[in-house]
Amino acid sequence: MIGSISLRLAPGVLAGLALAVAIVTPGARAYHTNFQGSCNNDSFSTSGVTRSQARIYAEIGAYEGYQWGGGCWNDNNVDDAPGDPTENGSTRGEGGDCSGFTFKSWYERVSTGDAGFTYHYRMRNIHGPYTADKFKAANLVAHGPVSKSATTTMDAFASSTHVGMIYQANTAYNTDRIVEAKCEACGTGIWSRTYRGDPSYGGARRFGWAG
Amino acid sequence: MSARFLAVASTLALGFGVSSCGGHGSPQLLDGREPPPLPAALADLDGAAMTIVEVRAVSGGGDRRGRSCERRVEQAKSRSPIVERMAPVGASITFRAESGGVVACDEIAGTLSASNNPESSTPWCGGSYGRLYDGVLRDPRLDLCWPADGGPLTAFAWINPRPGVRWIVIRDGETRHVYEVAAGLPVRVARKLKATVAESASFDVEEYASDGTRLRSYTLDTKVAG
Repeated sequence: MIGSISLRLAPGVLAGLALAVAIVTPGARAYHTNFQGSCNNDSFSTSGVTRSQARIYAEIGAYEGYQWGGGCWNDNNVDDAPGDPTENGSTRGEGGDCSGFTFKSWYERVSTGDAGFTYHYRMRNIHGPYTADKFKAANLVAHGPVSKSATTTMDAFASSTHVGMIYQANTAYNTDRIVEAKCEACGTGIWSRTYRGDPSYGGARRFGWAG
Repeated sequence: MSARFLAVASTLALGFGVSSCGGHGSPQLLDGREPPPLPAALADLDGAAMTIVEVRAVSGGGDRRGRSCERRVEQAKSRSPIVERMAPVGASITFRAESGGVVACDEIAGTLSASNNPESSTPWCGGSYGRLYDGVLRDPRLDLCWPADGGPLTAFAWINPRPGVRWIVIRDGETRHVYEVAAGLPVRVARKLKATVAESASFDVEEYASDGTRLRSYTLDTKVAG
């Protein structure tokens, strides 16, 4: 009798143990959530986009997570795919990386010869053709370098390896609040940064804001 | 042509022999030079053109291109030899930075970015920084370069050579471009796409050993990131 009870309970006990392990092991819970499986490709062309609109767009994207090469997120303020291995685009998690987040927040288009504006839905899985380096160095029709002293809200500071947009400019000496997709461990958010005083960063501007 | 390049070319010719057919009908390299002869071990490779690889010492004072690449990327003070590659569709520099990662600067003919910055002396259309994890890149660090004439994009990416691989071959239709592994660094390869708009690229890769044995053949799918 004891033996038969044990046999009947065993699957439940094992399931409970598996659940407990999953709960206390962040990596096991997070890895390969395939968040991107629920993303789409929805967008529309638009015009008259202001810096303020772009700021709100980026603000909604903050706290949604970071994904290397990624480009889609929801708006629940939780990284639904935390703890993925870094620099691995195949993990298909939530969020953009620094350049993809900037590309979408700047309403940019994939064609580098097109300065027009496109609204990318949050859940649109698109990264765009630019690395951080292309925000720092490339002078294109849609964006290009600008002196740091001239930068204002929703301009960006870009280095060869990172780009973040100005959420609130000049909050202290050489300091701004930056909205950025920073890293897998730290996610996407709004933080005080000193990129303005860092010589490895240059100013970058999206051209054609309506205001 | 530098003395160091001559030394490399001589080594190839003496060490591996040359193929009489290698390079015939091959496109010129980006800088106008003819492709060097194929190594004898790859003489039977159809449609193949050898690329030039030049390995230079760290931070040579007269190395203008190496210096300009170092200046371009902030973490990029080199701590390894500088590997410069010249292929028909693009040129690149790769070296290991003091920070431990690898740095690349990429060049095509008629770079859009350079044409918009006439005061800029840099020849580079883009660049990449890759972190190494146990000596290996997790991401090939795709870089897309746009020509000023609005023509097709050129894609650059790193290939991690596995132990025993001497040459990386990139297939592009009927042609193959042969890159020799050098200085223990990832191999920066280039391919001209058909598209003028893209955010990803695929490379058909073959890996060959020193005796010409094909070790592996695969397609590397890359996507812009970071």
